[in-house]
Amino acid sequence: MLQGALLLSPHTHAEIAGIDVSAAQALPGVAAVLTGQDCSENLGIYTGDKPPLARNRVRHWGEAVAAVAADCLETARRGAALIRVDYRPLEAVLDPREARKKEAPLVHPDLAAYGCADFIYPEPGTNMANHTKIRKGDLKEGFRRAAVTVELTCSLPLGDHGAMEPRGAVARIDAGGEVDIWSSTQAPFVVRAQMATVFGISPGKIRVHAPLVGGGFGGKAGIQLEGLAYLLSRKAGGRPVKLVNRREDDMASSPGRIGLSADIRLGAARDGSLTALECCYYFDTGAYGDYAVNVARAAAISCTGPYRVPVVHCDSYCLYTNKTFAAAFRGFGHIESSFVMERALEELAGRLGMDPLALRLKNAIRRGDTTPTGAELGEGTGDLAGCAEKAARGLNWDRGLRQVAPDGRITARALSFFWKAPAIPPNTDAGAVITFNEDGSVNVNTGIVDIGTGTQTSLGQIAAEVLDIPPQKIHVRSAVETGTSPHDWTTAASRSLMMAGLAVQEAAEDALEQIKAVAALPLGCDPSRLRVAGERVFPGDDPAAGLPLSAVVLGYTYPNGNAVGGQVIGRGRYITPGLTGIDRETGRGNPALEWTLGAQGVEVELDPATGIYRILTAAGCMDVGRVINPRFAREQMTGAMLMGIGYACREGFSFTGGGRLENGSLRDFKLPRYGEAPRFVVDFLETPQPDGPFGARGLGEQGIIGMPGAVANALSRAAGVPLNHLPLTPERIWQALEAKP
Amino acid sequence: MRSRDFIFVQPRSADEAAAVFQEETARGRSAAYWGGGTELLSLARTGKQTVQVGIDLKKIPELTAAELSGGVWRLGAGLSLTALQDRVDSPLWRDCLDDIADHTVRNRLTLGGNLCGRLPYREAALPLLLGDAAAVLHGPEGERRAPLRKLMEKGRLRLEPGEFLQGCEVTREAWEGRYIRRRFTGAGPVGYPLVHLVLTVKDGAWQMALGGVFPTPAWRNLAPPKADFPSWAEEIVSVGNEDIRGDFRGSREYRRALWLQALTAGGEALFKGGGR
Repeated sequence: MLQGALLLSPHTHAEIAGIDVSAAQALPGVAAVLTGQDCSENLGIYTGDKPPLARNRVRHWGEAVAAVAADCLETARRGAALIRVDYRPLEAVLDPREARKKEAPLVHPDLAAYGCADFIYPEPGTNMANHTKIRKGDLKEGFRRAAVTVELTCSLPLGDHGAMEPRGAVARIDAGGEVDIWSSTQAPFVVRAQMATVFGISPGKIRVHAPLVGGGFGGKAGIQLEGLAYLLSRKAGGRPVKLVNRREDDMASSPGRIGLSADIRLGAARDGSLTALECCYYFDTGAYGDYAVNVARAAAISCTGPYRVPVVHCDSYCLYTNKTFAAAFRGFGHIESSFVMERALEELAGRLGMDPLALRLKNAIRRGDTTPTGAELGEGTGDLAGCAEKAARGLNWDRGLRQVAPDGRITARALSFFWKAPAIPPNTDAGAVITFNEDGSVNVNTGIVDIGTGTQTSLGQIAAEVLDIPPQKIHVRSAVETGTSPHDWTTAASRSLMMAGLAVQEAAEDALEQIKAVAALPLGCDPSRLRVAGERVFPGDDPAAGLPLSAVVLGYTYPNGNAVGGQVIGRGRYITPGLTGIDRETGRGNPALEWTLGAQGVEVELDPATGIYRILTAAGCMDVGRVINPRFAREQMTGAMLMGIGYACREGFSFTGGGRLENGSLRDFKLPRYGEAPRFVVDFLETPQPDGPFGARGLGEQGIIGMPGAVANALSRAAGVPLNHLPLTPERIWQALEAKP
Repeated sequence: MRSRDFIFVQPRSADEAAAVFQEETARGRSAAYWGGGTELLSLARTGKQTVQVGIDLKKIPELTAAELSGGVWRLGAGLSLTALQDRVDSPLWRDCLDDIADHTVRNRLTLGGNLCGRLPYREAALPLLLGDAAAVLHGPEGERRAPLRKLMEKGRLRLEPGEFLQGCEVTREAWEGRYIRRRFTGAGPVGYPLVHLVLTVKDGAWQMALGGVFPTPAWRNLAPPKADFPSWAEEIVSVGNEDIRGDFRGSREYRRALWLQALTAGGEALFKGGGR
């Protein structure tokens, strides 16, 4: 297998005047050298804005400019280092607000020429990659009814997912033109569709293999190195090529998470009832739109958080800048909008002289209320007040919001409410196929990729429950292959358990019917009289009178050798019902399948002399409809909360004034360590989701969403100064305290 | 992780190590002495280090001893920081090494590597500078001794071509005073220091060693404080102010503020009989 290496750009924004690859090509062992000139196609989930390699211009520091495939990795790297590129530096734009200005340098002068999904609205001739609008109610009237109004500017930086496994792909093309791609992807079917559309390959000729993935968090939902590995293989005569990011390259050249600068205005009546919300988001997608154009849309759709706000105006701009580009990230727009809204609510509570929890409870969204897009919350609306009560108890809320110890240290508490709906296409699907083995054990095959969430185990539990077979005898395929696994949108958006769960439930029920139909022949009774339980199929309630499943699931064979029935193959399908897009001018529509609601918060201890602090406790409760696997649910929530703490406290890319990424390694991009984890108090409520499997709804991402707001609110309370800009490093808090009048 | 191919040599004596270095350099190869490899390997992975010959010093008896004799600690430069913490019974020494990198790294990172590497922090130097340690160096000309304070005057340990650090010697007595130590990072418990302050008092003599604040480790004798600790600290901090480092990990102003704060509180605590 050939090994690939990339040459990355040392410039933030530059024209490529020429590339000399002759020395690399001449290096013994080099099989293929690829530059942007070798491929005229563009990749992109929503907007076709990204060449597999920079073509004619580089748009961010660390962008891949050339690729080399060679007999071994060392040769490939040496080859890449021999490539000479003639760059002509261009003026760069690094701030999304600057990017919005008329005179800003254009990151994509050819924006008009790109293909684009019909719900993404770029503005050619500007840096606008997408603009989403929400117009609900009369803004003037809403603020006229407000007795108190707060206005804030908040921001958070671009960052990295920090998945344990960096991104990697292998591609090969066989003599018949069939393409195999192995990738650390959350989205094998998206990869297949992109490869087919962009490179003109018939989808049936592409097999995308998604093995166990070492963490995704959204960063592997878009298209990554697959196209490049394919192009290298194509140039090397179809030989297999392996391309794996080094950690530092993964951070600089593969997508990270979106950045944001936001203005928010929030008004409330004297009694605390919210009257109007106006927000303007300047999302920073970096050099390419990838998933981020839709992250910005999801932020607009969720901009109120789980609160009843009668008047909502939101403009969500997604802007190109000359920085590392952004993909999906756990929380997908909701974590960003939540941070901004929760900061505003906390300030509003202060201005109203109201307890911040009481203000939230007063405005907590309930069944029958409408979302920013005007969609009504239905029967499955979670119990926010119940969640808040549990989270508050976990935080020792009754001890008060702020205490100063004799040594000067300050303890403070804050709570936030959060919500999330999957940001999905209106026709999102899932499928499941159930087959059986000789011993009556079960194979479950779905298109869900194992990204470390434990979903496969939960899907197996659903099958076990329906079939009444011990979970040990359920084998869930963890590797997905697009040619044999049923079609599935993407392992993202916290929708796998619900949607694939429903498909598995249906497939198991279908298998039950088939089992009964086969067993009815030898048992000589009507299938409707049969029951399946304890790995047997039997009439009435007499297991001894029936047959073991092993005698039935591959067809029944009579003692004389005659066989009947054939094997049981259970089939289950799911497609989202009743969803729509949103109106371009008003945002009206029904894009959200289900909202998971919850409350969470932290207790912090701050040393005001240095800005150094600790998170003592993190508590949260989420209404997940039904807990399918208590341990996984708890670990998802706990992990998400710790990830949210990292996001709030210290993660975030730092760029030099010239746009070079200066903390692009794990030495300096510091993820939280286990030893720093606070005390966690995690709980769940179960208001059933009527259309979920056993009443369950999504819970994978949700636990991260309220954390940045809660942490910022607790620290703002402790410090006595508003802290509106993430990450909240000790130095940033110290600076705010120094600037305090 | 996959590194480049390189030659790895494990000499059994200090003379052999120095000889290998000379031979390989004469052949036109780039050679480097090798401690735990924590820096060389991670730099090699990202292509920032292209050494062709690594000369491992960990099999040389003089570099792997830590012993007390005649009231003097002899600390082998080829020992890992955790090994040195285990074997050297001095709270000041153990404590100062405790926040360098993380435990897993300290299991590999050697004293020689920490003092002679490219990274500027060299926090193991702090207790050695306070104790007025002697450095034992070995090179083509054999062994020599020099005061560490003098060798590190310009920050980096000044070695002659082909020389390596064999170990350090410090009297037990030198580490017997009371001390206060404070260390701050930009975020979290593991990271490069913005400020690493060690303040000692012994027989009425005050000293300070400082990591993170300046481009390299610093050491000073201090006038003892009287009662006004803030102005005592302010006076100390005002010396060399212009050289305080500032980068994305922490600004000059923040480092200065942390230093001042630690010095004020530490000075008062030591003055009032506190510290270890």
